[in-house]
Amino acid sequence: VASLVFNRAKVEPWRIWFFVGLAAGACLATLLQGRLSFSLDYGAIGLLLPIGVLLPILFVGGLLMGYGARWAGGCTSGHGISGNASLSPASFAATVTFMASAIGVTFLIHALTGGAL
Amino acid sequence: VKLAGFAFGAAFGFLIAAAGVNRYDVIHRMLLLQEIDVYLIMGSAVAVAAPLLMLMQRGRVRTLLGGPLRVSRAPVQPGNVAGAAVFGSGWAIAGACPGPAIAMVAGGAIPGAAVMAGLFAGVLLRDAAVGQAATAGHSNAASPRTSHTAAGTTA
Repeated sequence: VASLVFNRAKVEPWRIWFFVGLAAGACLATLLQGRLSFSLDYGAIGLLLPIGVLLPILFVGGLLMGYGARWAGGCTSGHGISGNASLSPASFAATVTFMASAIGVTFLIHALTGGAL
Repeated sequence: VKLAGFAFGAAFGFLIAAAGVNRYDVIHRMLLLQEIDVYLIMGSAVAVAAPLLMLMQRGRVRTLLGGPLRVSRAPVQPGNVAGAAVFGSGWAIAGACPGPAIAMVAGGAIPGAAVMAGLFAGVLLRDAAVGQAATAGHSNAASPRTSHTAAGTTA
C-alpha cells in the first residue's frame, strides 16, 4: 500500500490548482448565498442516521465512486459532461450506465428505508 | 497554467455550489426522479460545450498546455460500462459525485470529507487491483481508460 501511495507518477500542478480552485469557488458561492456554516449536516440521510453510521456509509459510497470512476475512465464530469460534449461513444455508454445504476440503487434505498430516503 | 487551473476550478466549484448540486437532498431527489433540474444543468453544459469544442477543434485552437486541442472520441470498452455501474451505486449512496463532494466540504458539510476519503481510497484500490492483475500476467488487465484532458476533467 505504501508503494502505491508514494511511487505514483507526479501529479501535474494544474490538477492540484484545479482542486484548490474548485474548493475556493464553492466556498465563495456558498458564502454569497449566505449559508456558509461548517456543520455535520448532510441532508435527509444525515437526519436519519447517527454520525457513527453515516460516515462509514459515505466512505463506502466514495470508495465505490473512486474505484468505479477509475475503472470507467471518468465520472459525471469527465464522461457525463466533457465526454458527451466530445461526442465520445465511451462516454455515452458510461453515462447511460451510471445514470441507470444510480437511479436503480436510489430507488432500492428508497424501498429499503420505507420511503424515508 | 497553474493560474488557469485555479480559475477553471474556481468557476466549476462556484457553479456547482451556486446550483446547489453539492447538496445530498438535491442529488437524491434527482435520482428519485422527483426533480429534473440537475438533468437540465448537465444537459445544458453538454449542449454548450459540444459546439464550442467542435469549433475550437476546427479552428485548431491550442490548449493551455501547448498541444493542439484534440477532442477524444474513444470507442466503448467493457470497463466503461462495468466501472460506471460501480460508480453509479456509489453516487446513489453518497448523494454526491467527485467534483461536488469537494464543493460539499468547502460549502460546510463536513461529513463530505468521508466521501472524499473514500474517493481517494477507491482510486488507489483500483490502481492496486490493476497493478496486481498486470504482474500476474493477465493479458486483459490494463484498465481501459479514456482521456478527456483536452476538454478538462475533474478528479
